[in-house]
Amino acid sequence: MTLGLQDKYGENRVFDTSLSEEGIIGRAVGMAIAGLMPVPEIQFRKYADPACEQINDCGTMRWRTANRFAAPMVVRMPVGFFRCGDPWHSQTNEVQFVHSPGWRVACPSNAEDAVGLLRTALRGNDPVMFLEHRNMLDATSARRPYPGDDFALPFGVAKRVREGDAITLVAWGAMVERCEAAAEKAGVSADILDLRTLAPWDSEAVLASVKRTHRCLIVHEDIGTGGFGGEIAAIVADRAFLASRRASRAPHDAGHPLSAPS
Amino acid sequence: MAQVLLGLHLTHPKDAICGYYRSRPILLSLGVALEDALGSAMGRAGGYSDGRDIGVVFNYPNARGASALPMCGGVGAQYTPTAGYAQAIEYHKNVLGDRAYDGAIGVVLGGDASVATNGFWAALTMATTLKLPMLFYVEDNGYGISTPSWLQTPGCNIAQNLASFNGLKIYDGDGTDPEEASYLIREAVSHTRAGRGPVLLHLTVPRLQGHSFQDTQAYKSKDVVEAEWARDPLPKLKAHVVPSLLSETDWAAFEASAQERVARAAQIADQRPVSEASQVTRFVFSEDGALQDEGGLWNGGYDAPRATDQARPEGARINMITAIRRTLDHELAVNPRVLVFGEDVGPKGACTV
Repeated sequence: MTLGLQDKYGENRVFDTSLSEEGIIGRAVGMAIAGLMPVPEIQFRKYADPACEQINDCGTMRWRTANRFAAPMVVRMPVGFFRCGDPWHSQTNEVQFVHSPGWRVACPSNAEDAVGLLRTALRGNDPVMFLEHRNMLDATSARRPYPGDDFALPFGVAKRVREGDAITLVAWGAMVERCEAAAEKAGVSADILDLRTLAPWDSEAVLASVKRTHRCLIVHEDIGTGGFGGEIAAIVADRAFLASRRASRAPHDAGHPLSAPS
Repeated sequence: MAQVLLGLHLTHPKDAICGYYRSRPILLSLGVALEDALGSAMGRAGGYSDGRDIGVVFNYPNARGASALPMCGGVGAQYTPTAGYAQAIEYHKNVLGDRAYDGAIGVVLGGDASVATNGFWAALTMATTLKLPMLFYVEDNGYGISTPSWLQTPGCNIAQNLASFNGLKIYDGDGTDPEEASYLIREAVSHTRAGRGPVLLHLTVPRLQGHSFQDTQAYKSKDVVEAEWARDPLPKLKAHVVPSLLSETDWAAFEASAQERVARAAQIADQRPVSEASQVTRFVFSEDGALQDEGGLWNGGYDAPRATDQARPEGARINMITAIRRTLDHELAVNPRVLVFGEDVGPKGACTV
């Protein structure tokens, strides 16, 4: 991924670190405060675990200092299942970062979106988790022409990758190509939305589609409980299905994404 | 006393410190207003968090001297960001050629229990392997809340245990002795500032009160508490300067003036309201037109190159690996403040799949 960059930019700008993820992210926090744009890489999703404290503290920095300090950075890491799985190299668990206030989370499904979202992140003013799905890195379906050095995509805007009216399919990352293949195989007229980013996520696009199709299938790569698909399901159930049957506001309220004052 | 002595040395505009919940003295010495220190601990509006954090951890953007990087409630969390700041000092000097960072240092403050944390060891490795301008200032009062320090490092003294650590200069002494503490702090700061690598300064101090207002220190014997009060640095400081530098009357006047200032500040703090409820959800993310005081590209006058969300596809289809590498390559080229790092990202080019 970074092959050749050290030769080109030197050891001060592209470099190996000691083996401590807390050190990698904590280092990035100090650098960001000093006005740099650090791009730390975590080797696999699971190995972000030792950095949890720094990730959490980085995300809340702007809020807890009332906008006096912020540490924008772009954390890159491979996620997800590829060929064979194990508990250390195949996790997605995007939801943990979505649940850390202050982080923007990108999950591109293809090369073009990866360019656009990464560029926006690198020029932005918030910390970003940039999750690179291992199964998509060299997948034929994820290949695209380079979209240009000026191409940058906004966060929170889903992409309709297939238009249909029988059912809404919501996915991101490696599940997008599977949804497309499944719709093709089943011969279903599916409206397939690639969320592209989970924080923020494009609930308006999803709700607009569901109001048209009246059916929604969310496909995420995660364990059975507590994945981000559950959040989407709750919002869709509340604002599309329940809201259409009840006059009053449905009870689900996700609250504001910040930590409680101590 | 020792913290204030340290603060007096941190006059470089690019110095930074990161402390913990016992760092109030050094923050006051850097310029934090008394009413902010008191009001923030009361959760009032204004101050350094507008009532949003626990109040005893600080942050202090400071253009004139050392800034205080935002501290955290988690012990040990202060270490690696300070090491990162120290590495950024080197980056500003060596890559960006910014002479304003010449002689700047990063200073981290921690207690004896914090030397058992992951963050301490991660930062120690970074600072020593990279020879960073970083000072580890460890105050050893013998306890982490109620846990004695023999559980935090064998033999209770981290300075002794690190005596053979490569690339680390050690200073160790009595933080309550005005002359000794002053000497050690001066030496430690100048060694770090001279670019001779990281320093660990270990100072023993008494803990005169509990961890918090609820902590009555029932786990300490009467003898231990008495021995701690016998080491109170304030009477030692007085004995050191009166009568050699000040008269008894001068000292009494200083004391009275300090008490009056604190009482006045407490009154001001107490009159502050709690923060406006409508504002409390702001600043989870960046907001247009409201840049942070410190951190990131944008408040340094960053002018982002033009961008479009319309793809202009060029060439053959490339995979995501090439796409990401090419984007990093371009952004590294157009923005000298971008830097890329991690395990095996250098010559190997990362361990992708």
